[in-house]
Amino acid sequence: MSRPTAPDLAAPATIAWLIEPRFPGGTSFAVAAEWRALRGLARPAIHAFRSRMFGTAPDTPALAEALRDMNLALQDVGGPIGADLVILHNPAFLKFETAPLPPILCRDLVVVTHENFLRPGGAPGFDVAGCLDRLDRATLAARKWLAPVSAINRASLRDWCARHPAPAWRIAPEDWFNICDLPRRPPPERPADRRGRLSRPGAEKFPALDQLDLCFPAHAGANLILGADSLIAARISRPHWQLLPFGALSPARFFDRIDFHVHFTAPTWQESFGRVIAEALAAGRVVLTDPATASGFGPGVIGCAPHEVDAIIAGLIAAPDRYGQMVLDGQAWLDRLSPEAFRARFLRQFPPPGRIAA
Amino acid sequence: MIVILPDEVSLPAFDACLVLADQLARAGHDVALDEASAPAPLPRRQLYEAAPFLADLSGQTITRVIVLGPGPISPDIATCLRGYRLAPDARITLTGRFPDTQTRIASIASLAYATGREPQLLAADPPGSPPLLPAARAPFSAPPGRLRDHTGRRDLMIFCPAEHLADPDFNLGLRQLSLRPDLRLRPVVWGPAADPLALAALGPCQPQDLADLPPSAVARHCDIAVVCATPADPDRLGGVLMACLGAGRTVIDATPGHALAASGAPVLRGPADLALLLPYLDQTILPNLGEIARFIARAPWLAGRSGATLAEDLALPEPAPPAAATDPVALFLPTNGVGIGHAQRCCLIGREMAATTRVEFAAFPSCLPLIRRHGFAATALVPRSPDHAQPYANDILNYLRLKRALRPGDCFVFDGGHVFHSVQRLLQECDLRSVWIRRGLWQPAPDLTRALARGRFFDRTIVPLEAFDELNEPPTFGGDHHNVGPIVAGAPGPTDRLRDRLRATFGHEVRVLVVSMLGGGAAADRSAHLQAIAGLCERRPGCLHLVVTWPGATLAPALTSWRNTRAVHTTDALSLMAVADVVVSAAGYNSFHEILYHRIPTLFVPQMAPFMDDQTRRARAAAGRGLARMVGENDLMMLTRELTALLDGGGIADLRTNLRTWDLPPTGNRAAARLIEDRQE
Repeated sequence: MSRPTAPDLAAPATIAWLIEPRFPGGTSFAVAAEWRALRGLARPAIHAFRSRMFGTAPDTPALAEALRDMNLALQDVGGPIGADLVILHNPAFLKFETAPLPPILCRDLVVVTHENFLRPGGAPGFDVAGCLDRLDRATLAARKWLAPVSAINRASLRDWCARHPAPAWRIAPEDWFNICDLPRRPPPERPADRRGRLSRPGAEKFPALDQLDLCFPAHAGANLILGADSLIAARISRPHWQLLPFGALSPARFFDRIDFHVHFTAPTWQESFGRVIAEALAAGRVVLTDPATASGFGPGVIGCAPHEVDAIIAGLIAAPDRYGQMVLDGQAWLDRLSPEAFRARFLRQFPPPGRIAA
Repeated sequence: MIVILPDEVSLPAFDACLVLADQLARAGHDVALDEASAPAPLPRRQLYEAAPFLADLSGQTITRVIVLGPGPISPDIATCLRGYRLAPDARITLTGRFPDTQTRIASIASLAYATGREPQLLAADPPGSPPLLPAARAPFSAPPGRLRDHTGRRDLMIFCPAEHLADPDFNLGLRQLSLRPDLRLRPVVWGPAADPLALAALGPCQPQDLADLPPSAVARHCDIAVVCATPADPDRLGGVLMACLGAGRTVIDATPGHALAASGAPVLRGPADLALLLPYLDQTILPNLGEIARFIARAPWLAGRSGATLAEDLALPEPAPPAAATDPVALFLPTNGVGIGHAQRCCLIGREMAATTRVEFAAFPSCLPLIRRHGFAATALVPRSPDHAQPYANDILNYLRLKRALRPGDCFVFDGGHVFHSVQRLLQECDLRSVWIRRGLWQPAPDLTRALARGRFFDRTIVPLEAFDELNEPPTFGGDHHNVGPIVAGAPGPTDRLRDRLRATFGHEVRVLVVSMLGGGAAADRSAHLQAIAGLCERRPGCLHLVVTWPGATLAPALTSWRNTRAVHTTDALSLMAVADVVVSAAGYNSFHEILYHRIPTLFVPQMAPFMDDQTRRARAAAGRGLARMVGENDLMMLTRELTALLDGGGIADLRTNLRTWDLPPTGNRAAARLIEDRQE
């Protein structure tokens, strides 16, 4: 194991990302977008930690593509990691680790908390204490930050820290939001009662069956459930449902076939952000979801309960202009999650070395 | 209703649920196992134990669910839970021994996602108290059990993998233990089937599979448990040992490294070498069983693991009060299928029971008319059928019926050669007094020793003797074996003018009456013999040939074409035999002794099959004494020749003379009844 070199204050700042390159879904998209957004700000180094959580799964294509685009190399963790700033996305990947982590030497360690620390009701979402403890023991840093990705995520962190004092960690003052640089499409001129949902097939992503029935009733023109692997395996079906396994359609083709994205999860789980909701908005579709999830977005995402879904959809079908305006307003709100906005927020929290010295 | 679910659909996980279900059901709780959570196909052993609990829960409102860890629930189990109609205040409890914090958190979360509500977590062990078997899934309680009086033989159970039996030293050690007159050895094994040679070497001391051992019932059959190793999935062994400890039984830890004792449980470190076990038992254990029981009762480790503590921890509803005590019943189970000889024997014994003893029956349909004609109530059992999904499906149903019919303290009387699996289980599970009636004269068979070894499940064995000494087994030493005289029907029904009634019934002259009772059914086809007898009788004017069978038996249609032959289905064959000039009969136990004791001239045609008694020896014993004639089962020419000789050559008169003067031993009907009743007093 080689000794880390001391930071050179005269040189450009260095940023090291410590990532698990096999995270599916939102985490990997956010990391790839983050590399692009911070391009040119510093000398980046990307360290891959292949954890026991993902076994022998291959790397996520989105990350490989970003690395290729930016001509970056992915280095397997083999020794100490040293940089001005070390960013670790989603500490949950450490939850099955038992061996000590490699030493991390930096000025700031930022741990982006893509998953809520607590579930609704206060139960831990994963072994947060174990993961943070492993990181804390491995890191020598002036500051260790927990960076929430959303207001909901922030509240979850605060609640967790209130119950489990963790003096080594500070909560970042601003959200480390997921960058959503998504192509925009116009809303349909005459929305119809075509409903659907897209999610990974995990049990936490689905509400109880009676709630799902309320969301996708027989009288709807279409009920398309993409990511219905567990329903298919359990032979749970309705004549008026079209169930497809995850990945059977591209998101673009999925959104072509619906006008309302109805997204409810198990009540004992809470989205920390909900990238698919942003994707639906960008694709020009109105989203109906639980009020807590909706609170993380602007117009175009309606917070409601499953039993209210029918009336809301009927109202919007009867008022297509209102539907269209909601979508456009929602897409305008998405600008807050742009790469530029992220870069500006990043620089506020982590100014270049020269400004620090000043 | 309390539903118990595993975390995954697998045999070890389901077996752990069975062990917990058994604990809770014993405490009076209404427990159910979701059939969707059972692996398919469920092995036979688990199927019997699961049968009382398995339920289709669709449409039922569920108020209590207990899920056994130690992992997040699998998609199959999540589907089960999502399908439940949970009451608004339904309580969901997760318990188990989780390998790490993350697994515990993930397990809780998986349940929360599937049910939409937060489960309660219950540690499988009291805080700070190590588990007896860390790999076990279920929490264990120590149900209180009665202390045994230590004046008689002690039951010694030795738990080991089946492969240990193939070790010559271990096998020899077991055999040495089995010879001790003050010990009743019961090896209990698990894992791949034991080597046949090793099993054969053990003789009557055949091992039982651990999967056949209902944990909460084990303390009734165990004074000392010696554990030589622990299985990979140790829930059942854990349940067994906790039941033993709860009842103050001695548990000796002979595992490598004394892993059980390391938990702090009140078990004794014993020698790992079986050769050293006997001196250890003699010098340390047997003289101190009472003191050891007191030591166990005082153990703090056990105090936190009582059944009441578990029920409290699980916040279980109050169990239903136990059913009101009723007077004990003597329940007879004769095993017949087509024939009804066993039922006949049981009825004869039942009629000798004191008037104060309630006698009931559980029997197959072919026996029910006979039993009811004797005035006994009877529960119908289900016979085997090729239409059933498994060859043992009927036995599982019978197991459930018998389990419902029997109450603690009842006397269960089984008459038959093959002890059904259902019966074995009932004898272990239910607090019964048990009697096995088994006649002797077994044919030599490779597995005869193992068949007779099933007698260990019974408290008492009654062997109805044969009429002739050379047919009886030498006396058996050890165990509660009793020989009684032959079980024989008393006087036949009224036979006055019976031949006249036959004449009127059949519109046929009865100058000579020949009765054929050749058996048949599963054992052998007797159509040719009957045709031969019918042909012989056809040539004799005034001869009536009655082919007598039990109700329900089938006969070849060709018999109806004879003018002098008629078929009679009756449960009172004895009356017809009593008025016959000659009887042609198989030599089954009942008919043979009825013929002898009622002095009926007979030509025996033994019926032989590998699973039957040795009828040839029996017939030969009578023929050799001039009390009957016999022909071989395949000797049709001799059959007609002998029958002609009897009818025309004065042979019948000779037989009557010999029968009239021959001294037969006293019958054993009453003695058998007394032996059964003794156990009830």
